[in-house]
Amino acid sequence: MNELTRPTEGPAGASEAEVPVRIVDCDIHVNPLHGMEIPDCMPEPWVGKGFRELLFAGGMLGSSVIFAAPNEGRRLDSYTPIGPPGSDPGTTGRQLFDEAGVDLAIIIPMIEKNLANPEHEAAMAAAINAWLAKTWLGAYNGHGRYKGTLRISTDPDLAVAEIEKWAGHPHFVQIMLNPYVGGLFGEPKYIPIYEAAVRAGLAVCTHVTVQRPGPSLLTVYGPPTYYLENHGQFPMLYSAHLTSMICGGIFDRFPDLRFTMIEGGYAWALPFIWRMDKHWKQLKREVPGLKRLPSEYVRDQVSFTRQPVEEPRNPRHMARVIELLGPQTLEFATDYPHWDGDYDPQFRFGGIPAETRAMILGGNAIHKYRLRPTRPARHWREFPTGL
Amino acid sequence: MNPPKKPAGAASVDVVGISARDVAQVSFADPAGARPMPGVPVIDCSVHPRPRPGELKRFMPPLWRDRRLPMGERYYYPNPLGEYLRDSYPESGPPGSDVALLSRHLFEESGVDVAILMPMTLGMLPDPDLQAGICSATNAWLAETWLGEHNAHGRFKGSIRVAPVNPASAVAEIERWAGHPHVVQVAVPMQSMQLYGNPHFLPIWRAAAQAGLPVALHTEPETGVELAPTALGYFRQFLAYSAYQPTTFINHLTNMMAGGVLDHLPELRLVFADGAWDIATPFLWRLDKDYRPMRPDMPWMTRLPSDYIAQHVRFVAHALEGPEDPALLEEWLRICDGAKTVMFGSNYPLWNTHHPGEAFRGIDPTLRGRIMAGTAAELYRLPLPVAAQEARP
Repeated sequence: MNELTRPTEGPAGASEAEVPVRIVDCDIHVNPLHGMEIPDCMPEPWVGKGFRELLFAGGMLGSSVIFAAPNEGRRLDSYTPIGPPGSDPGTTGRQLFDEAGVDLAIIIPMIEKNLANPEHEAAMAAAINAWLAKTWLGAYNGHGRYKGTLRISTDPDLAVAEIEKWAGHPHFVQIMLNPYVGGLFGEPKYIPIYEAAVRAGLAVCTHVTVQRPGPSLLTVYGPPTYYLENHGQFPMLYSAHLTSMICGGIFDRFPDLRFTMIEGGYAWALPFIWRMDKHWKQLKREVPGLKRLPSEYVRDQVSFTRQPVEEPRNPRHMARVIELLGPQTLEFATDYPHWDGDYDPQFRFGGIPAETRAMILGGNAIHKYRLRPTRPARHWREFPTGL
Repeated sequence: MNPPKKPAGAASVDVVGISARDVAQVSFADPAGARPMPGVPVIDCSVHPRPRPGELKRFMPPLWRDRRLPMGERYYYPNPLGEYLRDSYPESGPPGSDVALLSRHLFEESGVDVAILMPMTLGMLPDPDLQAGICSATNAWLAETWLGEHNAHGRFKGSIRVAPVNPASAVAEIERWAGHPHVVQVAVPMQSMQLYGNPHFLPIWRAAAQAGLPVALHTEPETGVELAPTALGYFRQFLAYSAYQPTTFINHLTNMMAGGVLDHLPELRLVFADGAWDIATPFLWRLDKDYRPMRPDMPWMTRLPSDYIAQHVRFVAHALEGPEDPALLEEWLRICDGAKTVMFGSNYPLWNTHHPGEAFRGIDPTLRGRIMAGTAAELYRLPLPVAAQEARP
């Protein structure tokens, strides 16, 4: 395993009092304050006027959905006078660090449209990564409480180049695979991407994106009619990817790979591993590269985020699912500033042990991302943002 | 070079001299310790009989009698264990085509009292009229043979096959057979070009509900149009296809709930015959959470998604799902309301046949009794079979 230790943050040379990191929020989204912040970061040869207008004019944000989420998909109180939800570090800091009690937040930038052209995708990813490094992981991040996710193209060569460009950055902790474009994650084309991520000490995640085209609409039997179906069936999308990754031998090939499925539910993974184990016992000669039970790979290398948390009538059923899958498989996330966030860190799921709750709240993420287990004690407002 | 010798009893031998039977690895008698449970009634909710080669033709509507029918098994994902049980191949004809062999396996050797027959219909075909013709012929064939001349004991119950792509013919087929004394349900393929909550299908579900017949969905294992198994394209392995496919029931169920079909037809009963009862519950936990904020999109959907299940939905358990440990299996069945919603089905003669002696062994006998027969007896309005057990030689 690459024993990369992330450097200590904070102003150079300053000696800071530290407090323990208790809550790591594994899924927040940020936006630019101004429309041209990201276009200004577009790499050559995409900086020309035509491309910028094509990709950005008319707004990338909120214009691409068939199924309209409640509140335009945002928390109503996250709108700020100076920019869209998640754009103002003052509002975000208050709502996330002060009100929700989050110590560290993992940013997953969700700003672009899905693109059919992997080269466009790579240019957008490069622009978003550069913008994030400059703003939320740079100027706004004197306290080091924001960590970032690299966006990449679904073209393996372009993706690997982007990963290598940022390897060693103190605040990028993972890469994200787009679950809608590029195919199933167990396909061999992804192998160089996993290889590059593991080499760079980065975790890998997937997160649902704003999708429009038909094939991404989650069912093989035609498009669903309502947003309920679309949103409620993210687990079908993720279980297809996970099936493909297990059968494709990805976890076997990369024992250091840590993969997180974000916002696609959790409890389904328990019956999922039962079904996979039973099929593997019957059919393992079809997958000779697979050395262990599918459930072992899932328990050792895969995690899920809690939001939007499933709500059984009897909350103890969730406690039981966590116990059966293992407390290392679940991570706290708010999905700030989206409409369906889960902010309560006092969750008990009807009776999980205190150690399990501590793992879900922060311990698992600290381990997976190899984060420093402390952060500056000084209030986040005391760190300049340059705004 | 000598021509390859035809193996005795092989159903068919292809050009390279390998019969499907030679490939089949799984035997009906395989499960260790699988024994019929004396005195425990068993209703087998998923049995797949099949016409002998050419037999269907006689029953085809005249327009289609001379049309060559598609043939063969699923095209992608050959199963390394074979598609059917090794010992389900009769002396001649395909697995499931021999009444005596099937009866011996299920009734005599395994303690099945009643078998709900669900013939397959050659897969999803591009021609809606041909599809309807095949369904119509299949129904006439089943009524004359398995539900007729071979059914003096009355232990075979049948399904009306309908083609959802052809609603008018589907409704006519339901009306034609609904009064048959041994017909207990309507059956449609899981595979479809449109989700079953689409208004286009409503007349079919209405006809079934009015006739008091549940609608069973089962993946067609035979040839025809094959959809990619995921919205993201093809898996590479049969293992992946086989594990994932049953979970696609949630696409149809959610679409039918959100589309108001279940509110509109309170008498409609759905049977998901490929299983996935164990993963349905986590899906429903999530849907319940999403339902409340999204209700303005579908005001006709009046209940939480999970509230429709006990009234409207049953699952035929699949052999390769659920936990191994009987104590955990029982616990998860209780979490999933399994006493009301889970029914036993062998899936005979497919490779993943669930031996009734093996199914749900080691759990609480009352719960097992519900699964092996109780719930099905209520759903299909059958007398709980006890006499059949005692009458066996």
